[in-house]
Amino acid sequence: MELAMSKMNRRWLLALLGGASFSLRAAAATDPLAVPPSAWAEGAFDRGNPRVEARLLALPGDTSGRGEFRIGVLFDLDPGWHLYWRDPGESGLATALSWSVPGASVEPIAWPAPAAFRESEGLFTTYGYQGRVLLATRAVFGAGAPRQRIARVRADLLVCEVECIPASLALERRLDTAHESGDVRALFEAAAQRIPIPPASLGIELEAGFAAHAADAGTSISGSLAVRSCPGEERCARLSPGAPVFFPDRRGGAELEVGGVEPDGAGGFRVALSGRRTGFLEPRLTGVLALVDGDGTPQVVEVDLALPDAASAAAADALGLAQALVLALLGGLLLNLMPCVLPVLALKAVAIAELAHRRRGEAVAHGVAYLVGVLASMASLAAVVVALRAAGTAVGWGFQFQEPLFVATLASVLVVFAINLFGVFEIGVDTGRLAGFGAEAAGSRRSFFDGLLAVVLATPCSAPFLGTAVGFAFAGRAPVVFAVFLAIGVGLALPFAMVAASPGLARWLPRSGPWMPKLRAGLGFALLATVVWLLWIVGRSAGADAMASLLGWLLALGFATWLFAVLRGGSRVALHAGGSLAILLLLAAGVGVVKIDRAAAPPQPAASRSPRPYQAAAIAEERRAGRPVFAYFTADWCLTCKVNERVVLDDAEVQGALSRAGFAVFEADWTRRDESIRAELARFGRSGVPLYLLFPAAAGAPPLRLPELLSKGRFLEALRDTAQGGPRVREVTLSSAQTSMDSALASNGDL
Amino acid sequence: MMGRRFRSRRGAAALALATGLLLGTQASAAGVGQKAPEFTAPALDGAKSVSLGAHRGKVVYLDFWASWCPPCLTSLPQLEELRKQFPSDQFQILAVNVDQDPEKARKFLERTKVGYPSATDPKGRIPETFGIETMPTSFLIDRRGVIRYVHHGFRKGDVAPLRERIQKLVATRDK
Repeated sequence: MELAMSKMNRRWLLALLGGASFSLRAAAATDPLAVPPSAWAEGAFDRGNPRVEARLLALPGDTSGRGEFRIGVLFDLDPGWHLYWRDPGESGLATALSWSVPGASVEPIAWPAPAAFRESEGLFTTYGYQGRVLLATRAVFGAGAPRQRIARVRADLLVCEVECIPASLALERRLDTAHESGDVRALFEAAAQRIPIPPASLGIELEAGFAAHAADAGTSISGSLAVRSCPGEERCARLSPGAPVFFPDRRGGAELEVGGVEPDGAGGFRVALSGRRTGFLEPRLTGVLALVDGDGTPQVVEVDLALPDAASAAAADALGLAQALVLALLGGLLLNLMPCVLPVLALKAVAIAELAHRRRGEAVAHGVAYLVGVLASMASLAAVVVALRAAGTAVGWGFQFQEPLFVATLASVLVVFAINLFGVFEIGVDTGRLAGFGAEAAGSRRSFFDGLLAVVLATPCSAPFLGTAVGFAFAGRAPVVFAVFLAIGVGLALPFAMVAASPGLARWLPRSGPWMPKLRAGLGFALLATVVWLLWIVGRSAGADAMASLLGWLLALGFATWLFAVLRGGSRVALHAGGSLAILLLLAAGVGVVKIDRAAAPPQPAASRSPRPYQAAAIAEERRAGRPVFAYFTADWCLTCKVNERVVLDDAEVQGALSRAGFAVFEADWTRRDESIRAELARFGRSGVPLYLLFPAAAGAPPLRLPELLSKGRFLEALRDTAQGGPRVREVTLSSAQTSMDSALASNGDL
Repeated sequence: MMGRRFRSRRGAAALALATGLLLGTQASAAGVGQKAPEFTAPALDGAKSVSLGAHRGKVVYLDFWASWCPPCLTSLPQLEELRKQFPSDQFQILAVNVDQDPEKARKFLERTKVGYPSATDPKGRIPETFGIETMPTSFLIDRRGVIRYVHHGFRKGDVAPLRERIQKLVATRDK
C-alpha cells in the first residue's frame, strides 16, 4: 500500500517537476554563449512549450593554476514568466541551486537584487526575476583537486505567469576546459553589479527602529528601516523614485511588509515596516535595499540589522535591572501555580484557615515570618550560587537537585513533616527539641520554615518570565544575583503574606474545627507524594539500589521519629534505650545513602521521543544536511519539563508532526551536573531547564525559542514555522525531489 | 531563444516520449469527454471529507490550487463570485489544495474566504490521477461526471467565458 502510494506520488511529482522532462541540446556554433550539451537544459513545459532555458556558465578565475572559477546558472525565461528570489515573498517558491564540484568549495549564491511583482491584482507581493538572470557563485579548488574539474548543479525552481510550473534541471560541465569568453565575462560582471553591497560602501547608515518585544512566534511588530544619508557629501545615496525600495526577507525571523516611504528631511528616508515575528531568537531585519546613488547609478544594499528582543541573550545586557526585577516578581508569583510548590501551599491554606479567626497581629506575624523564611532561603541560594561561581563552579537554577544527597535530605525532611501532620508527635511535643526541623504545630517559626521549604521545593520548577529573569541574574554580578533572587522570593511569598495581612480576606475562610486535623493528615499524604517524586529522581539518576538505600533510610527515620514520640512520655531508661536503637538504625541506614553514587545509572532517554544526546556539532551537521532540528533541555527533577514532555512532546500528533517534517531531535539531560549543558543553556540566555529550541534547516538562521510552558497547538504551529520558515527549507525539499522522490515525499516542502 | 528551442525540439520530444511512458496513465487520465476520476479526501477545514461523487447530478467545477501559486490565489475570490451566480443544487465548485503544509492554505483562506469546500491532498494523489502538469488547472464536469472542459492558468478575464460554459451545462437537464 505504502509502496503503491509512493509510486503514484512519484509519477505526479515527476509530472510537475520540469513538466515531465528536460531536454539536452547540441551546442550551436553560432551561439555566443555556447556551452557543452550537458550544460544546457530547458524545462517547465507548458503543454509541450518550455518556459525556461538554463545554461551552466563557467569563467576561469584570475588566480594562477586555474584554482578558482566563477560558475553560475543563466536562466532565460519566456516573456511574462518569472522565477523566484531566495525569499519568494507572499507566494511562490524560492529557487534552489545544489552544487556538486568535487575537490572544490563552493560559496553561497550571490543573489542579485530581485524585482517585486504585484500579483493577484496587487493582493500579493512576490520577489523574483524575469527575462534573463544569472545566479552566480565561486568554486575554489584545494590542493588535492582532481585533474578533471567537473561542476554539477541541480536547479529547482517554480516559474509562473498566469499559471505556475515547477522545473528541475540538471546541468554538468568540465571547468578545466572552460575558456575565457567576453560574453560570459560580461554576464558575470553585469550580475555582480546587481549583487547587494554593504551600506558603508555607499556612505550611508542603516538603523532598524523597532521596539523591544517578546520572542514569541506570531507577535505583531511594526517599526521602520531608517536610511541616513551623508549630508554635505556629493556621492551619497538617495531614494530611487517610484521603485520598490526595500525587499525584506525572512532569514532573520521576521515576516514584514513594506508600508510607505518618507523622506527624513536630511537627505535620507524611513521605510515603514509591519508584520509578525516568526519567533526566532535574536531576530534580525534582513533584506535588500534598492537605491540610486549621487551619480544616478542604481545600487543595491544588503540589509542585516539586529532587532531588539526582550528575551534574547543578546539583549540581556540591555534589559534593565528594573525590568529584570519585575519579571522576577511576576515569575515568583506564577511559581505559586506550578506543581512543585503545591504541597507547601496546601499546608499554607490550612495555616491560613487556622489563623483567620485569631488576632490580626498574630496572622500578620505569620505572614511576615513566611516572607522572611522565603527571603532567607532565596538569599542563601543566591549566596551559594555566588560562592560556587567565585570558586570557579558555574551552576544554574535548580542545581541542588543534581545532588542525590540533597534530594535525600529533602525527602527526609518531608517524611518527618508528614509524620508530624499525621499527628504522631504533634500533641505535647517539646517544641524546642523539634524546632530545628520546623515541625512545630504552630508559631511563626513554623511559617518561617514553610517559607524555606517553599523555596527549596520551588526551584525544580520554572515559570513564565522566570527563565528570563534568572538568566539575567546568572549573567550579572553578585548584587544582581541577590536582587533578582529576592524579587522572586517576594513574588513567591506575596499571595500568602497578603492573605495573612488582610482581615477582609480572612473572614471568608471557614472557622477551624474538628475537620482541621483530618485535613492536615490528608496533606501529609501530599508531602509523601512529593517524596515519591524525589525517590524517582534518585532512582533515575543513581539507580534502583540507591533508591532502595534511600527508602531504607526513610523507613529508619520514620521508625525513629515514631519511637521517639512513643517513648517520650515514658521512663528515662526506655527513652535512652529507644534513642540508642533509633540512632543505630539511622547510622546503619544512613551509610547506604551517603554511599549513593550518582554515576551508577546510565541516562535513560525517553523511548517515545528517541532523541539523540545534545551536541552542538551534530546539530550543525544535521542543518547542513538540510534537516530542521528540535533540541530540548530537560532534567528528571524538573517538574515543568516532565509535564511538558508528558502532555506535549509524547503526544502522538506531535511525534507524527516531528517525524513528518523530518526533524532531528536532540535531548540535553541536565539531571546530573554537566558543565557543557550549562554552558549551552547560558549561550541561549538561560540558566536552567526547561529550554526548547527549534532550529530551521537554513544555515545561520537563529533558532526559535519556545516558552517554558508548552501547549500542543503552539508547539505544532512552531514546528510548521520552523520547517517552512526559511527559503532554504524549500530549496532542500525541491532539490531532494529529483535525486530521490521518496525522500522528497517524506520531507515537508511544498512539492 | 525560441528559435534555438525549435532546433532542439526533436531531442526534447524523444525525452518527453520516454518520460511519457514513465508517466503512464497521465495522458489519458482526465481529458475532455472522459469520466472524471472519483476521489474522496479530507476537507481543509477539518469539517467533513470532500467527495466528487457526492455531487453527481450537479455541474461541478473542480479547481486544483496551492498557496505557492499566485495565479491560483487570484482565482479563488473570482470563483467564489461565480459560485454565487448559480443555484447550489445545480452547480458546485470543489477545490483540491496540494500544499504539503495545509496550514499555509488555511492561512490564505482566513484572508480570502470562500463558500465552497476545499479538500487537502498534501501527497498529491488526486492531481496525479487527473494528470495535472501546471497550476492552477481546473475541470468543468457535467452532471454525469464527464469532463467537458479543462482550464489552465487563471487571469481575470477568464471568468466570463467560463460562466458561459457553466450556463450551457447547467441548462442541459439530461442526467
